[in-house]
Amino acid sequence: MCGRAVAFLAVLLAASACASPGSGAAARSWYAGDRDRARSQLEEQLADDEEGRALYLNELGVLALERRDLAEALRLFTAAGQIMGAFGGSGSDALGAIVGSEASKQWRGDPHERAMNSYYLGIVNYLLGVHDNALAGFKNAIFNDSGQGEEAYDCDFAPALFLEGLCYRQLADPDMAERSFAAARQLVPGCPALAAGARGNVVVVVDVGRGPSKIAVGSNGEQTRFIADAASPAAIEVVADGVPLGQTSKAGDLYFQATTRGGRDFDSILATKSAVKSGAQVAGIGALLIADDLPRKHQGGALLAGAALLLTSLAVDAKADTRHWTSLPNEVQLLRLELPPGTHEVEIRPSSGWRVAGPVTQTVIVPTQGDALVYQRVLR
Amino acid sequence: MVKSWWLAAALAASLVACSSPTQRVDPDQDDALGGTGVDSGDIRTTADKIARSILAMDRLFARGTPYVVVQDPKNETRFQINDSMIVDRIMTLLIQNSGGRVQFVDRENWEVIQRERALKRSGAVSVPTDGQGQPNLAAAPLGTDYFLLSTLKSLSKTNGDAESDYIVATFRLTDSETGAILWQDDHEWKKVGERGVLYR
Repeated sequence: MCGRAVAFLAVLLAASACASPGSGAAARSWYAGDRDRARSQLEEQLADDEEGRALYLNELGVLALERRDLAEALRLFTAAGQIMGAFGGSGSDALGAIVGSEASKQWRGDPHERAMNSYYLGIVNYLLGVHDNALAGFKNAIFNDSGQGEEAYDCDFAPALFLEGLCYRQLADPDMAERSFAAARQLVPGCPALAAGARGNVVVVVDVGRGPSKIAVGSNGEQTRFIADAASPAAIEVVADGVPLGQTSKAGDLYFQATTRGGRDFDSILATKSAVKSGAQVAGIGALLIADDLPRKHQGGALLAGAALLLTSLAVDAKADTRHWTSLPNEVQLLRLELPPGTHEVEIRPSSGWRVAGPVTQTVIVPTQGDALVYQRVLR
Repeated sequence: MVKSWWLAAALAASLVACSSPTQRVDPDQDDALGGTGVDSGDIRTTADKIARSILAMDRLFARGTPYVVVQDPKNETRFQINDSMIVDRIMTLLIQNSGGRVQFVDRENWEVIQRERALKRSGAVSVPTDGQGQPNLAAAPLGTDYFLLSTLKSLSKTNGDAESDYIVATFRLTDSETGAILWQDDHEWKKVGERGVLYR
């Protein structure tokens, strides 16, 4: 009996020993402006933590995009996307997550994170001039944002729809482009860049602020909640060749994307684990309390059972996986503007208290046909 | 009974600790990773079907050896694909199996070819000779009879947990003078998959 109990606890402990830590430490470095430290922290974690690979690849992808190493960003986002898009799982993943900590399973992200991986593949491919794979990226972002919870089959992330339209225009399919633009416009009618009359051969995409953070709540941390970091600059001005040309405006909200996905099937497993954990704790304490009142010959058994139940309660990890993509933005802002074909110096200027994460000035080549894309990240 | 519990504990520990070694697999078979995207088997099957279809078309050879320029496919699916893999594979199969009945013109390396032509004509490098010992210089790079054009399109559905993707890869040979479509064929497939409960 005693051996069986010890072995049972060994199973629990073995399975719960390897929770993947997430990228919080690197996020603190990055948001504090120390991008080199953030990068080295993430590269270290990428080498050490097999289960968190897709998470670290995505975070490193954002850093690569920030320094405009587009080939590296493409490689990183593609590798992350392959992990996030896989369906299969290993036996150790299942055992670890069900018996032990959920955070021991391979990280594949929430639907909004899968959508953002595809969004970044779209952005990077567009900047590289590979417009059909850019289209694939935005299409997959739309796909991953669809069919979740109550909003079945409807994407509500307007930037992906708008940028899909831009790719269709680039690939000489104006009908499909107009369909995508109209869908984006319907979602955010107040955004000037999406308005029916909006014209321009340059599209400015600005990812703003820090995206939603995922935390554990509930008596045993078995539920997840997202916390918004809703701050954004009062204005983001776009300046081309020294001339202010307009301000970007909000087209997408990542907190909204993260919180409109409905519940997960795995939440019921966590709820059961939490009930087992709490039940074992109560029963264990109860057994210890009544041991004193039992006849002497039963006291030893009651004490042992109580201790075993308490140990079981300690070993069951019902805490939900709170690893999340920390370098996602809070919102996506857009501006469409017209520039003559040729080379231009474009600068994105956020209002005071905010900074740009990428190059301050970007050289943009506006083609005689089609649209140029300018990308920037703005942080506090 | 106690033994079996210890066995279970050891098994659990080994499952958590171990990873499976890398292994060589058949590229025509689906792998265990799942997903509804384009796999190696799809590329190989598509290329095989299309190469056979081209070779079986007598009209293509009615005017002698056809010269063909292959354009990169247009990817209109939701998947990131290095889509030139498909047409590269078709070219390989045709070159290997047509016995020279189809001649491909290399436009991917146009600048390299132009530079080499200029170097040979400037005397900076030697000029290869033909069987009679005469300089082997073409008057002009080859024009083409046909373009091999292709698109990949998809119809994708999801309910959040399960996904389905219907993909059609369409190929056509278009006359480079008239724009007439000489031949068209396609290969299609549909995949359905569901995420495991850990990821739903």
